[in-house]
Amino acid sequence: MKIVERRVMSVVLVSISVLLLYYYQHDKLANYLKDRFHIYVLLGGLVAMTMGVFSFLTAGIEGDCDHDHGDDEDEGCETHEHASDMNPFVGLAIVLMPIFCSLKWTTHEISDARQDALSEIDVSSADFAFNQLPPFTIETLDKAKTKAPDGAYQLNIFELFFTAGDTVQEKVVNGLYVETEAKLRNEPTRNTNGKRMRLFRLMMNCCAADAQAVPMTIEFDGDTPDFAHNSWVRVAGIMSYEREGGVVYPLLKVKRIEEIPVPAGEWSEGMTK
Amino acid sequence: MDLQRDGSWCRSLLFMDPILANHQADFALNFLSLFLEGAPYILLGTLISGFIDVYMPSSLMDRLVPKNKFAAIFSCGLMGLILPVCECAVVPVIRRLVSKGLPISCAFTYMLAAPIVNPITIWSTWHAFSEQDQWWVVLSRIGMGYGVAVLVGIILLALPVEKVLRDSILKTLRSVKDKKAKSAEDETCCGHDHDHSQDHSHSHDCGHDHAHDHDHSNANEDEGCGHDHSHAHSHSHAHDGGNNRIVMAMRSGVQDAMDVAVYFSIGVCLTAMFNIWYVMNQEMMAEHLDSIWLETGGMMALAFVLSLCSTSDAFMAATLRGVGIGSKMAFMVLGPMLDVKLLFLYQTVMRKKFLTCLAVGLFVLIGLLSVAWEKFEPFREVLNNKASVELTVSNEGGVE
Repeated sequence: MKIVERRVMSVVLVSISVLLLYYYQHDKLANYLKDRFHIYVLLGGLVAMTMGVFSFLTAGIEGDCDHDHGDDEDEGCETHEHASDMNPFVGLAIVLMPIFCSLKWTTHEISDARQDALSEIDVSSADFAFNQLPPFTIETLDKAKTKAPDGAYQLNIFELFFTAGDTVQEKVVNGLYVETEAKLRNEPTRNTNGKRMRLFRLMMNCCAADAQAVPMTIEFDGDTPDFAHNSWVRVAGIMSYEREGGVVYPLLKVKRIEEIPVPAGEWSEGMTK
Repeated sequence: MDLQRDGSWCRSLLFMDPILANHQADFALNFLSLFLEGAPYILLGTLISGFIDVYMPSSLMDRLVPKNKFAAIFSCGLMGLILPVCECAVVPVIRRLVSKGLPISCAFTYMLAAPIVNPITIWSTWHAFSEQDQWWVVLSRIGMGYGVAVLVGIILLALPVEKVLRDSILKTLRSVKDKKAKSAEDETCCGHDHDHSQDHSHSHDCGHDHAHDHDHSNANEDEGCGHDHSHAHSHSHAHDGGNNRIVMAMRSGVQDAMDVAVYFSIGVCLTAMFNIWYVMNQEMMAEHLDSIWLETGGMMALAFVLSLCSTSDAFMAATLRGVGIGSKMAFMVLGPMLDVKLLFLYQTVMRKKFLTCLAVGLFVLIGLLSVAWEKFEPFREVLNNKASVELTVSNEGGVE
């Protein structure tokens, strides 16, 4: 194989390694991959860099692999370099083009249109197969959770969402004054009086491509506030539940709401941790 | 004409449309997240494949795999328990093992089973379904994945390798087989044992051992069995670069990485695009999947499109709303065996015609098995009774 072709292939590997290592140190990696995959990004980057650089530097060395190739003079170590079906330059273009385009286009965020599509679905906790909230009482909540200055228990939306349908935990949380942070959008269903909005947060199982939204309806006494679509808010209110078609939905009756900056750790670990 | 007049057609082409801008950002996020998730495993796989290529002699495969073809297939289906790999990493490894002479029936059984029958996937499935028929789901997934993989392996016993493997792999495989045959012929041609009693191991200053096994057990070669025992030696003994095995291993790994990366890249592109379409239309899809057949088919299509890693797909399956256990099983069994990116990765090993048959076959077989499995209540009840007793005890303890 020609030395140039070997070097082109090495360049592909080095490019992939640069991408992996760049993202490993990038503070937005958590927007792409769940934490448990991060170490593999580093490992993959180091492997690709080692292979690519080593092969680039040794492209001119002819091979001798020191094991049996039979008794044929013509077929020695070069058989390790099997005939590729792909021209290395074409391969280079196919691998690098989508990477460059994606790097140019990425905003490191899920677009508003996709968030709308994900959060529009009216899911209940029963739709999620696993509900790993440990059993708790008001005493355990007092010990485990902090409270806002006005006495609201600070719980995340997943904890509130997954209490619905669990009769024991519903009893603990029903009527409780709680505070949570999430994104805010209009309520597309179960909103006959027009005084409801929807909170949601996204969670991923492996990567951003499999993101799902966990929603919760909130209800206002008066008119709904005029916040920007999908803005982050901190909401406090009284927890309650409503049953419709045999499904239990959590409902937060709002006492106060304020817009907040995007919190650190915007992506939740969800329920799979 | 209208499209051209109002300019939307032109804007779309130029990616200036706001909707397309959203889709571009989502495509980029999907592509990069899938690429970052899968590429490390592929790279590790190709590194291993490079070292297998150079350091593993072809004859080792003959010694490792059981002689009985069926025993070999059944044992290869369980190899994932010892060598746990996900579906991305297994493809380059399999390419190399097939080139080394591992029978395709064994290789494909391992390739299809390993992403499911491995400790990591088993643990993640167990964890994900901890509140939903745990025993049933875990055992079903292992059983179905193993069964399907073994069945494919057995079917491959009846197929000529030329109809399965692509030309580049065949060429390497033939080369290995020719050498093995030639070597065997040299050893047995005259009906008696030419034992290598005089191994010539000699070291040069290059620091590694050049073992040449010559047969000199017959005192007089010309008078031995009547044919010519002379043969040429393959090593030129020109070592200007020192010990080059590591160079060859790396070079082989880089070439594998290049081949696989091309198909992986195309597969991830398509997955990212399909994923956008799915999210925008999932409500409509859910409404139309109103029978067990459609639901199962839909879930398999989803597994195909989403291309999730087998080590994590159980978490996704567990969170899919309103879906029957059989359909979830179809999702978790088909996904590690066949998805968009795998379809392209498999093209580095298989002929397109065979790959099409394999894809359709897996889709139909797993669909039928999953529907049947969902209806197979008695065994499920037995397993669940045990689990529900444990859960009841646990919950009561928590409430108190």
